[in-house]
Amino acid sequence: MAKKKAEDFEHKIDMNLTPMIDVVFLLLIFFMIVSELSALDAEQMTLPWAHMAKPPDPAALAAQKHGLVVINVLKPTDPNEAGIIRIRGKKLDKEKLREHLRAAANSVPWENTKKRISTLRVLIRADMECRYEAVQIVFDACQVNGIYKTEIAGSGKYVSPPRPAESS
Amino acid sequence: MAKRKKKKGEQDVPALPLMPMIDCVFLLLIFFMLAMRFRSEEGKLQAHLPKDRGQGTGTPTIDLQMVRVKLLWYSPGGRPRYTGPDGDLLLKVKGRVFDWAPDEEGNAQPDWAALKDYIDQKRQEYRPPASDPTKTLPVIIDARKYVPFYWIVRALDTLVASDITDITFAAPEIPY
Repeated sequence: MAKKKAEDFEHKIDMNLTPMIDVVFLLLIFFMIVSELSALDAEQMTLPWAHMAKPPDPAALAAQKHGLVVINVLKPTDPNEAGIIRIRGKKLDKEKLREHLRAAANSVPWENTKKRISTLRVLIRADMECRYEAVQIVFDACQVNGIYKTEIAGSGKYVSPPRPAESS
Repeated sequence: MAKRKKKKGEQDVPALPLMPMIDCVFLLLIFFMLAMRFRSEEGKLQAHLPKDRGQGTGTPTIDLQMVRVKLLWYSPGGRPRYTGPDGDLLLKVKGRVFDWAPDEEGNAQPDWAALKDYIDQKRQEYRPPASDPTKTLPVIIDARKYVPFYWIVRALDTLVASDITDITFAAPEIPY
């Protein structure tokens, strides 16, 4: 009788799975949201090496999220193109980029209303192999709309330079 | 031992099979953890555009002490002003051509250390105008449109390392 009672007691031990499921679901939701945001704003590309580039402060980044436009300039698939300009995954040509920045500049307060100088900040993330011409288009669109606070993203880690052209 | 007798009105509670759900959730969690990209190596350089330039802002002021860092693009054969995508970079400042030198990883790059020394010297020699005694050495990056962006950032990075704060990008040869 005593042996049977002990066996019954052992069978009753059960792991409570509910808290673990709660934690796992929370982690899952966190990674789903964070991975989507990072993919939209910061597209996959090889940034040029800049050892003086300052890593963004996460607290400051969250505070300045409003009033910041991230422009991605990707390496062109066609060698005759300068680069592919995209904002939040959407490809923009020169005119569309100007319109987008005009709307963004109008949505934040002006630093100088008379001279139309904007407080909007623009972060340019350009692939190391895209041509400077593509970034000049972004600079031009910024200046036309009174945006002067531009920042250029770089990699703090060493990146090899683009392969020089073969001498003929 | 006989099974415990059910009390009157007591019903069997159907057990929910949690194991397959936990398996799926763990798989999803591992997938998103691996797919997430950490951008800890990414930083940014300040490259403010001039406020007083652009369309309809009048003639910009010219500082004769301004240093113009030219990033030119030559054909592989050395033909100047070549505008094709295949070419070689030429770093030139006030007529001085900076030779190529191996970097810390042994890859050939223009001699950025020599450029930094040159800029450091010019910064020390700079005399600000009486109207603006706080002004620092203005430097303009003048690059041809075919130059890969990597070299623009290397030039900017070198100027930032020399504590140059007044950095401007030259307007394109043909305005957009």
